[in-house]
Amino acid sequence: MKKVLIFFMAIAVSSFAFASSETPWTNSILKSVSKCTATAYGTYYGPGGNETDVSCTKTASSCAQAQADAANCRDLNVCNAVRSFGLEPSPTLNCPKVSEFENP
Amino acid sequence: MKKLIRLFVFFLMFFIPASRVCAFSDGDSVIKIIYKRSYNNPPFPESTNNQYIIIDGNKSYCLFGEGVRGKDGKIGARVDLMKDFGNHTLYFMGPMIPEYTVNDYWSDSLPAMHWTIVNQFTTIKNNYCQKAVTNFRGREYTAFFALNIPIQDGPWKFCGLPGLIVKLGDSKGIYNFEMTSFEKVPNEYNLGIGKENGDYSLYKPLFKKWHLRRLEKDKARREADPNCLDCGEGVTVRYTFIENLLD
Repeated sequence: MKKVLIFFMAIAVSSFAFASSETPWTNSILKSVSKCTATAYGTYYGPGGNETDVSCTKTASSCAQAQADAANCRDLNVCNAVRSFGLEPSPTLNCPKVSEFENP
Repeated sequence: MKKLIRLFVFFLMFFIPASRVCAFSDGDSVIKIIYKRSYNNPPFPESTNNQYIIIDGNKSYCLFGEGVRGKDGKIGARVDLMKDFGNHTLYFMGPMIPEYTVNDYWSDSLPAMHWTIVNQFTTIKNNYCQKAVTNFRGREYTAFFALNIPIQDGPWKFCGLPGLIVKLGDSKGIYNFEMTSFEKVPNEYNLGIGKENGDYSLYKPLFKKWHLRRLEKDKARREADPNCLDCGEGVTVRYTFIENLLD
């Protein structure tokens, strides 16, 4: 009788432990599934044959946001490279104005 | 008989383009050459752009972009480098902000490299080409020059072969140039360079110092604001130089 009681108690304790640990574990899985990582690459061909390669990997709650953040980061870095040579970046890069860029 | 035909074809190749090349000594027209420039330096994806060369008499201009037509009807463009074959001097743009702007140029010898011509021949885009190799400022290059286009020019600083360079690449496959267009066009260009500040031996240490200062400034900016839009753990900025400027 004592053995049967111990057996049932053991089952009850292990079930509780499993249940209490499962909820946050499941949540964390759901959180990581809903996140998205995107990488944007860019290369700037500068004066005198100097290349600047840029890669930006950004994570956001949606893939569209991650892609936008990565592209924005890439463009800002390319703008920085172009301006480091005293040149004005192409309007297609959508670079911030110099004052904004220097004091973001 | 076969040898005779080969000899005939060889001389014919020299003769036909000669008439095309003579045109550039005429002030009304220039030679416009377009090279497809590929840069493939993993893990970054390959990027390509066009390099435009305008040959006007004894001068050859390597441009940033194709140029823009101004109100005066002339095409203007920023000149990355100019080869002055008359004075055996090459001038290249070398901005180092704030001390030197895009109007500051530096000189280099012309040609800047020593070639070894190899006994290998091939045909590239209907041009009869010969192989040449060189080791130039940290990279080994193989070029194919057109025996039928007797212009001693090529992309970027490359030149000094008996014919126009139609294809060139380095041994690691990072830099590749391939001629995609060669034509005589009306001389509608208004091209020029800024002031010369010194030669390559002066430029190189100044550039190294400027580049290191640029890296330090950028590092400080990123450290000051780790959450800035263009900063963070997943951000990589890498600089590659076609010439070994940081020795």
